Amino acid sequence: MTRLDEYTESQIQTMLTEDPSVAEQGISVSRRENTLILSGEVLSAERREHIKQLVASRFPGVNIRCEIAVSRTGEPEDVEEVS
Amino acid sequence: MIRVAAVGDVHMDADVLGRYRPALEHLPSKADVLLLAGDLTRHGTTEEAECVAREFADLGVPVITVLGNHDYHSDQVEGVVKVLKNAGIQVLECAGTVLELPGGRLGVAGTKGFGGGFAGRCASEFGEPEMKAFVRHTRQTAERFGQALRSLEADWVIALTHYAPVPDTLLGEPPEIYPFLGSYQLGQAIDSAPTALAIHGHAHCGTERGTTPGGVRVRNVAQPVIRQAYSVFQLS
Ligand SMILES: [Fe+2]
Ligand SMILES: [Fe+2]
Repeated sequence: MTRLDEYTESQIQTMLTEDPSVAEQGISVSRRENTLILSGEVLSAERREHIKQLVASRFPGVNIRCEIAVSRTGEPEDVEEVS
Repeated sequence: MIRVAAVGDVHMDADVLGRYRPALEHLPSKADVLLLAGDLTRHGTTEEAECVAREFADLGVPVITVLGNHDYHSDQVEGVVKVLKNAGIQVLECAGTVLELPGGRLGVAGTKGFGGGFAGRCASEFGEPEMKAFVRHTRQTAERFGQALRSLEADWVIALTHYAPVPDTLLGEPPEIYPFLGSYQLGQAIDSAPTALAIHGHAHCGTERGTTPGGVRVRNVAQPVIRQAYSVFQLS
């Protein structure tokens, strides 16, 4: 069982960037009481699911709330005028 | 009048191939050129660069890019650049190019840039060799980038970087990490030329709009920030 403290939070943040299967720098990690909150955006539901599972398997016992969203990649509707 | 499409941090890999393609189908009717603001890949491998090529080549408009920090991760920069160039994507690093478009001449100078921080809260070339090397890299890059910007002869000049030139567009990121997200020296380079627009990425949690001290509009086009496949800017 992993205790969720500042060190664990740092380890998770580092893992999300340095683990080759994730390599995300845009995921924020924060703690609220005994829950770890993951937020940010990734490009696919699979990438999000993978992050959730990786954190759960490496840090067993940590309560995870995954607020990671899948980014939207639709066509733009407006144009910004710059002059 | 020229319309410029831009997006950064597309972080391509085989698992997301085709993700941007539907939105890119109509690109030629919406823009004259596409700028990519770095972090094209996840780990900077040539295989991932092939994915970038498949996603962003042959779109019917010229594509110009800078690399991001992720594109350096596997120490395969030369190979990555080669793959992109072979696909017709122009890669800029402290260099510029001028496109003759129907609406006029568009000059684009680009660099990855680097960190260091912003006025009053920045690192200095002082102390340990590692620290000096870090800040020196930023300074030298910014100087060469400024030269590239000033040498462009065009109707409009765009500055394309991966790292941020101003703190405005970092709003939303933890202030403690600003020095890793950009440098005022990039802003200084941008202000040393008649720049019409500065485009950057890298700050996934940042804000879209900012301005340099010299009044140049800055836009953070990191994909999670713009929440669409690309943004379009019209220069007139
Ligand atoms: Fe990125
Ligand atoms: Fe980046």
